[in-house]
This record gives sequence, structure tokens and C-alpha cells, in this order.
Amino acid sequence: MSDLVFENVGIRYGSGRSAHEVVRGVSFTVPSGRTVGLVGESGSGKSTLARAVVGLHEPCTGRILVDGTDVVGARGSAASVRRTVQMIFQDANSCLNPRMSIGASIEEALAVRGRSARRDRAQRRSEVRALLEMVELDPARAGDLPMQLSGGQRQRVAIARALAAEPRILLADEITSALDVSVQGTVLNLLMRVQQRLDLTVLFISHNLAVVRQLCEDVAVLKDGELVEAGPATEVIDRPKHPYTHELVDAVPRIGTPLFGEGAAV
Amino acid sequence: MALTTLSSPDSALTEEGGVAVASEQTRVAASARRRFVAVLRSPIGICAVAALIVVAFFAVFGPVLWGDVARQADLTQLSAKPSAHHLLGTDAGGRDVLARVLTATRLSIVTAVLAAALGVSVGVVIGLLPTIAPRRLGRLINSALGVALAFPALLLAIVVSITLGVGSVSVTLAIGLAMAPSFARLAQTLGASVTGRDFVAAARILGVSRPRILVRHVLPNVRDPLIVNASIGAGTALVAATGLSFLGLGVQAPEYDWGRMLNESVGSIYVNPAPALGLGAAIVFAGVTFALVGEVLARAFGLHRPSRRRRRQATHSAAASPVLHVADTPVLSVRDLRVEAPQERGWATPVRGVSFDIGRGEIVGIVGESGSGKSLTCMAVASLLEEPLHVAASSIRFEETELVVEGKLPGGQRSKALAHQLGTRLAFVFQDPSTSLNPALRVGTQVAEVGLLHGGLKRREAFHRAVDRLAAVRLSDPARRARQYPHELSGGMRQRAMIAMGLMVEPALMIADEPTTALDVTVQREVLALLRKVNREHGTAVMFVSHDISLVSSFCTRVLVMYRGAIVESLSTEDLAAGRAEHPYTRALVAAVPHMDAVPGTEFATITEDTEFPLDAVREEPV
Repeated sequence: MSDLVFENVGIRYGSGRSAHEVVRGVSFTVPSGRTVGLVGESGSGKSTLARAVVGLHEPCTGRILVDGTDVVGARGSAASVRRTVQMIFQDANSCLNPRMSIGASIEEALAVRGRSARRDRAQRRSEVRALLEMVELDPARAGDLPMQLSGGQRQRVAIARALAAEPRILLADEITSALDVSVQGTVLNLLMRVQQRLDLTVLFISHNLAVVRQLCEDVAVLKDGELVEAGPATEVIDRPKHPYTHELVDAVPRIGTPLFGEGAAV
Repeated sequence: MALTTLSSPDSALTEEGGVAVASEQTRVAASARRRFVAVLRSPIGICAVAALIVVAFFAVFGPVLWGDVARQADLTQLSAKPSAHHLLGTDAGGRDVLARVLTATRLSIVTAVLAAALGVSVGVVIGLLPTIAPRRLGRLINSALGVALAFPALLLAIVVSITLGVGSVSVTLAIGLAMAPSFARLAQTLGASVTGRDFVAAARILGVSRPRILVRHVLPNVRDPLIVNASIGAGTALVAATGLSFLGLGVQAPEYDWGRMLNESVGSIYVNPAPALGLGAAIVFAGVTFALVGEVLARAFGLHRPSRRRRRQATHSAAASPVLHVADTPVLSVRDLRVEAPQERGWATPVRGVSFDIGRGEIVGIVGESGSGKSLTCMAVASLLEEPLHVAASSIRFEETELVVEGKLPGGQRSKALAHQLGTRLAFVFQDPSTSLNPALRVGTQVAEVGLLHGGLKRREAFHRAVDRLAAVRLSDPARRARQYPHELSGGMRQRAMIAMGLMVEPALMIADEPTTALDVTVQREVLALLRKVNREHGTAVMFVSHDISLVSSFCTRVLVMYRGAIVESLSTEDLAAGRAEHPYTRALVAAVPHMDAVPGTEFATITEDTEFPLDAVREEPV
């Protein structure tokens, strides 16, 4: 059981007079074993929020609870709780070290997990193979460098690396927005299968409402660093209450439906 | 998009598919090796290796072979001029200068190489330490580094050399330490660009320790440029060491290097120039060798690529591809457009024989995945492609002008008349508005430039019109915006400014290459509405490139589907919406788009990565 709770989280960039609050008083819960979508436009603070969970940003107010433990500024045992949270990034080009084989990248994640895994090399190798199989990649490719893989394959390696740390919570930050639509489906299906198989808690950040609606059970909508609407995904997206959510849903292009009626105002 | 296709031929090759996994595994290593061999075989590579062998030979064997001769003083031949016996003459002590020059090679080269190695080592440690040190200490190191950089390096070397006492060891230390700050700054800059990347963030999240991140993730990614600069740095160190010895601050008698010998021989340069000239030649030769080796290493690491200009014979396939849709009054008519890009071996064809028409006032979408050649097609039409890409077509007619001359596009060397035609009638909106506007110029100035160049306007009139055009694209407070810099505008505003630039004249065609991909959906809608307004009010045809088939179908009147460099289908938006697409690729693409009315929790439709679709176009049924 691992849930992720944001309690009145505020995050500020810069200091003094140039300080700029990018996230303000955000509270919501990602319940254990569920997939929650976080949507909003660029600059709405959705990535910042996710990065705060793993310690890449420090909130100035509020608490972030992983399984009941506050991980803000965590040290010692609280910091090890944070290790149960892993993140997958948007850019498939920069998420893997270009100088390390994909097997080595995954192995590194295995090695930091615990002493037992560090000892036995053969066992680690077999775990790498198992992880590659889990993300539907040929284990024989463990020696490949990232540049030998397509964008979609690299994103699957990133998922395998995150899974190597045996996380309970996954943060997926726009993981398919740089991919072609044909490749996007395979990565999303993989994420869905892995989530079900390992009963993971997933925070899925995306600007693609159609994807969020199909993949996520719940959704939270951020605008300018504030939460404007949250609830079950189909309900929020099909019957948006907040005008901003409405605007977002309306702007989604649909095949064959003109984006604006005749003589639409600019 | 197009640029990534060009700069990474390997990834394009991967997309071609069909390469066996096992053979691919060895391919990268093999290609690196092949590049190294190719560089070594190039003229510059051969020169570098030959020069390096010569320098290494004298450094190793110089003192062994000529050391004794160099010590023999012939008291009958003091400061003698060159003769058959002493090719460079003798010095004031009656010793053979040539033997001494060759013997001194070892000390001079060893000093230079050790100093450079010391400089790089100390520099890397200082430069990368802040990335793993606590924040305060890191800042302190950075400030100290800034101060050290402000100090002239040679002055620093002199100070250190005097402090440590003269001699070959202190000269090495002095120059090494003097070089360290610049290497530290280089390492710091390179390191910062690596530590900002996601894989370092991922390693931190995994709990990899900071020193380990430095060793495993940062160092391997900054290694190549540092090695190259170290080699070039050795040349600098050589000159510096020679200079210090020349000034008497370096090597002291009885030891001697080129600098000290130069000091001794320069006094009699007008009487006997041979020793000084010989020494000069040796110093230049060694210095050039270091620089050459650096250049060869840079090329071998792929840091800078030699400009490849290969002649190419036109190998035109006679079979012209079908034109899927013929417009009655085309503003643009393209026939059999091909783009070829040089690969390590042979040529790739990212655009293979594309033919299409765009009618007046039409909004045509070109849709395809990355690497399908859609951006290259647009760039080729606007004659924006240059060497090393090879562009050919049997005909490209833009309005009444034929752009193709003898099967080729003029590219960079277009005539004035053609430049005027393209400048006034064709507008181009790029994908990334943050890079398509010059950050150093005011928005209004950039928009006005088109009017200055092609509209025959005076500067003030042009600026006035630019403000008017910015108002036409519904930019709030246009007069103020015109005086702002691009970074002060949001992405959507910049894209509007780009469109305004196109509207400075009366374009017949506006090519928009993924103009909204970098924008949010709500802003995307506004920009598209603006493009539509331009289309309605000015009758401007729009060629709209996108990877998003749902976006294209909700905005355009007709859709061209591109797959692996060929147009496989042309169909109206109504047909697409009604599910009347015929080509399997088009159908697959439509099916893969996530729908707003899909059943939640179901799997997404996919196109398996190794699916091969036919490249043949679906012919339109006669109306």
C-alpha cells in the first residue's frame, strides 16, 4: 500500500524579490494502486510538482506524504522512503546516459537498491534480462547503447530502469509527448500493464486529454500553479465544471471535427 | 524536425528497419572504428601521424643518438657558421647546434606534455568539484576560479616559476598550474551541460551517490572535448615553456631546452642566423604537430565533422510517381521532388519522388511521422536546403515561376529575381518560435525587415507597417510589442509575430512547418484560427505540416499522407473523417490516434514497430 499525498504544497523559484511562486496550495491524493492524471498547460507547475516528490525541487510550504511519511527535506529513513518513488522523463534522448549500455543503466539502478543485489553479478544480469523482457525488449540488446534504439524503445528502457529500483510509486512526466503517435500506444500500453501487474501507484503527467481519459482513473487539473478541478477522469473530462477545464477539452482536435465553427472569433 | 533528421543519419537508418539485431550491436563500434580509420587516412590524418612519429622519434632517441655529439666542444670552431660538418653551425661553446636541437627535443616535449597533463588533471578536478561538493563550497570554488581566470596565464606561470625556483620541474609545474583555470572552466561548462540532463536526474532519484554520478555519468560525457583540448594545450604549453626558458626563468644550465638555446643564439642572430632559425623550425614543427593531433582527435571523436562535398551524378528513376490530386489553378506544383542525404556509405533518400499540387486559397495538410520527409519537402520547396543535401525535381512551379533549372534547385545561389519572388509571395512559419526569431533584435525590426528588403519601404515606413501587421495578427498593444525582444513574448505571441512577418507582403502561399507543436492546445487553437483568418482574408494558400492527423483533419481542407519519403495518399478531410481512407498506413495512423470517446482502461491502438506498409500510392478515383 503506497499512496502519495500533496498537502497544501507551494513551490517557489528564485529568492528575495525575484521569487516566483510556481505552485500554490496544491492538495490532492494519488490513492494506492491507482493511476491519476495531472493535466495543465506548460508553466502550470505540473512537472515542478512531480520533481518536488523526488527531491529535485524543495517546496516552501506544505507536505508531500509518501505512504504517510513526509519526504520534504527528508534525511535518513525518510529519504529511503523516497526511493520507493521513481520518475520517468519526457525526453527519450536525454533520459539515458549515451555512454552507458542500456544493460549497465538498468544494472546501476539494481545496484543501488540493496546490498543483496549488489553482491551477485550473475543474479543482477538475470534481473536485467527479466526487466528487459518485462518492457518487451529483446534481452540480447542489453549491450546496446541508447543511440542504437528508437525513441519508443529508449522510453521502455527508462521504464525498466525505474522498475529496477522496485518502486511503489511511478511519476511519468509527459513520457510520450516526444514520440510519434504510432509509438505512443506501445509505451502507454506497457505502462498500463506494468501498473496492473505490480499494483503501482502512478502519477501520469500529460497535456493530452484523450490519453489521460483512457489511461487514468482520476484526473487533477492545474492552472497557473493552482488546482482548479479534480475527480474521476471521465467525469472531469466529459463534463468539466471549471471553465478552464472546459476550454482545455474544447481545444482538443478531433478527427474530422472542425476546430472552430465558421467565422470563429480569433 | 528536419534538422534532427539530418544530424543523426544513424537514427534515420534505424528507422529504415530490417537491420538484424545482432549485426546492429556491433555496428556502432564498427562505425566509430571506421570513422577513426577514415580520419587517419585523410590527408590531415596522415600528416598528423607522420609528424607525431617524427616528434616522438626525436624525443625518445634524440639524447641517445646525438647526446654525446652535443656535449663535444670543438674549441677551434666557436660560433661557427653552418658547414658540412656542422649543418646549423656551432654555439659559443663550440658544440654542434643541430645535435643540441635534436637532443633538446626530449626535455622540451616532455615538459610540454607533462604541463598540459597537469593542467588538465587539476582543471578537471577543480571544474567538476562544484557538481559534487556541498553548495557553499561549490560556490567558493567557482568564485576562486573566476578570479584565477581573470589573471593572465603567462603572468601566473612566471609568478609560480619564480616562487618555486627556476629549473625544468618548476617550469612544468608553473605552466601546468597556469593552464589549470582555463581547463577548469571548460570542464565546468561541459559538466554543467551534462548534469542538467535527465539521466543525471534519474540517477539522483535512484540514489546513486554524487561521486559515482560524477565518475559514471559526467566524466565519460565530457571526456572527448577535454582530450582534444589537452592536445592543443600541449602546443600552448610548449610555447610557454620555451618562452620562460628564453626569459631565463626556465631550464638552467647545464640542462638545456629549445628556449634556453634560443636565448643563447638570438644574440648573434644577425651574424649567424642558422641556429635561431633551426630552433624556430623545431618549435613550430612540434607546435603544429600538437595542433594537428588535436584536430584529428576532434574529427575522430566526431566533434567537428569535415565538410563533405561529394559530387553526385544524377541517377533519376525514370518512373515518375503519380500526382494524386491536380489542382485547377495551382499556386504550387511539385513534380518528382527528391532529396538525398549523404550517409557514411552511399546515399539515403529521405524524400523519394514526391509530386503534388496546392491550389489557390487551399489549406493542405501534410501529415506523417518523424523521418517521413514532410519537413524536408517543405524546406526544399522554399529552396532552403543546401549542401550536403542533394535536391532534385523535374519541376517545381511556384505561381508562374519555374524554380527547377536543369533538374536542380538553385539553393543558396538563387538569382535576385527569384529571391524577390520567394521573399514577397512565399512565407514560412517554423516549428520553434523561440529559435526562429533572432533574440538580439526587436520584434518589430525583424518583422519590418521583409518590407525593407522586398517591399521597397523606408526604415520608418517598414516599422510602421510592421506595427500594423502585428495588430493584424491580433497581438495586444502592437506598438509596445514591436519594441520588445523575442524573449519578452510568449510562445504563441512569437508565432503570431512570425505570421505577421509573412503578412508584410501579400503571400500566395504560407508554409507552416509544425507551427503549433511547441504550443499548448489552447494557444494552438488561437494560432490556427489566425492562419485561417489569413487564408480567408488574403486568399493565401496554406501548406500545413504536422505529425498529428487529428489536428490536420480538423483544420485543413485536404490531407497528404507521407510515409518514408513518399506521398501515399491524398484525400479530402471529409473522406478522412468518414473513414474512407484507403491506404493501410493512413488507416493505421487514424486508428492510432487516442480518441476522446475511447473506453477508459482499454489498451491503446498501436502500429507495431516492424510493420511494413506499401510505398505505392493509392490512386484517387476519377470524379
